[in-house]
Amino acid sequence: MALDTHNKILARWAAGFGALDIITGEQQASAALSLLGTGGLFGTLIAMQDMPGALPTGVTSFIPLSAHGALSTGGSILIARMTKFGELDISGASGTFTDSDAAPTLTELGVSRQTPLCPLIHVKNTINATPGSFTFTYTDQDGNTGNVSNSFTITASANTKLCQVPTLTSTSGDTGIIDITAASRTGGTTPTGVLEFWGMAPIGRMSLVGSTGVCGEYADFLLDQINLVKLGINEKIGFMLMIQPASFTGAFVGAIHMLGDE
Amino acid sequence: MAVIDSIDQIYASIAANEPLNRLWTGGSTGVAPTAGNSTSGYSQNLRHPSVWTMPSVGGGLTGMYATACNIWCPGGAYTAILALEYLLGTLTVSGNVFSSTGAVSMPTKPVKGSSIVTSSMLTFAVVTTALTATTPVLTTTYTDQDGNGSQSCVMTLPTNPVTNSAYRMQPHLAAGDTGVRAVSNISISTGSAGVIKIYGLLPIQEFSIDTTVNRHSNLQPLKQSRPQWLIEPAETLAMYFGEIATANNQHMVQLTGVAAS
Repeated sequence: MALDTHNKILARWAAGFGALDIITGEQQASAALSLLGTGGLFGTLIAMQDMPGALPTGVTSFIPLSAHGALSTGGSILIARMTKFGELDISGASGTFTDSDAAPTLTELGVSRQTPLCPLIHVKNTINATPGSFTFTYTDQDGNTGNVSNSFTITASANTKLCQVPTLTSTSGDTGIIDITAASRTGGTTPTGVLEFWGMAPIGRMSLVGSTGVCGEYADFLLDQINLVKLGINEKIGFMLMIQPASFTGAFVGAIHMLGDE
Repeated sequence: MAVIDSIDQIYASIAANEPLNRLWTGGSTGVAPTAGNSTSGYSQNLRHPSVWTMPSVGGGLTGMYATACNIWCPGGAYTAILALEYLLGTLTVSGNVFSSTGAVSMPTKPVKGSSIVTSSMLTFAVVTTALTATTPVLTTTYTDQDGNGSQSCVMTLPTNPVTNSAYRMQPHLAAGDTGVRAVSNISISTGSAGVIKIYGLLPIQEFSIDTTVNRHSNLQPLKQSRPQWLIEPAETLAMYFGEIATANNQHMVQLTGVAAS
């Protein structure tokens, strides 16, 4: 059996295999707007949602069908399946990199492969006033190992939740990352703080169209942005407010609707 | 029956093959393109140098149709087009040398059950190496949308256009022509340096980028009343920006698609 028709999807929902998860997040202060200067598009990782640690009876995966939300500013939220490549504690002589996962092997257009992900740098622990710069070493979309990124200057006193998509393509032609295997820091004065390295596979976009008030709209993955992604246990969904407006502080309240695959 | 003939066909393809979900970025080139004028396509366009290549598909599958496409940009007032891109010819200004190395004719694509020879829906003369040339006249000899060869497109480019500047050829095609199938020659009247490439495009998605908060778009391909192009393995997608005066052209693109058999 497979959910391969609209009627089957509706019937599955009617049979009680749907769920709604509330998503909340906030950014209390964003003194630094750009984490890496002009080195890529920046924003705020407004929320991260964990999939359950076990599958309910009769469910083989979780499929996001739609999401909605409201934010105290306008903007565009990228919703993505997240893989943590690792993190860099920037303190010490050159920082300490802790490795995590590589891009998962997934079926894509009938081919099982490690699907390249889009990198995201995220401030896990607040950055100090003179943090210096860093590079990371990655495996590109074609499996070429040992590629070293541009050197990125970390913005002073960057707050937690700030994030940035580092530019790869202007210099290398690379369009995705399979893994980040190392990272190190140079310069700075008694640097402190932790940067996380994530990989993003897109699920869709949520448009928040109010520039001063609170409003939002549905991100529909069933009939609008047609994209039925099957998520496993313990997977993470990130909500990134990308290209945030100046001096953003505020809260996000929303939800994501999930359907249990058969 | 094509996968995009019905929503159930799309769901069946997703269930059987799983969708493609990619997100990639293009860094800022840091330079605004040199604007065109009434003799060179009228508008200020930029071809971003980073391109994305379609990966392989499973056995029995032919490619992918896009079902969702989003873009994130820093903001401004310009347009963007994500398109299948085909190199039709190259001109090296020094020596006025035409080359067809690496060039192709526009491909054959399935449309509504038939296999058709396409012609470019958009055609650009792109400066891939900055020109040293004062108001050069660029003459392109091409085969038109109906297969008529030896047609001429004559444009006068601005002086010394910078790298990545792109000039629309459509307004300057021979009378009655709407597209280009192939290019047989390119020549220039003057100039000492630079490279121009002619690209034919089949658009996948168009975006409107505004100045405030909606720095994105997700006009779904399935809602649009024009042919949906099959994206085949090893084909490339490029981003073209229209009426872009800013030097910051960085962007992030989401592409989602379903397998076609």
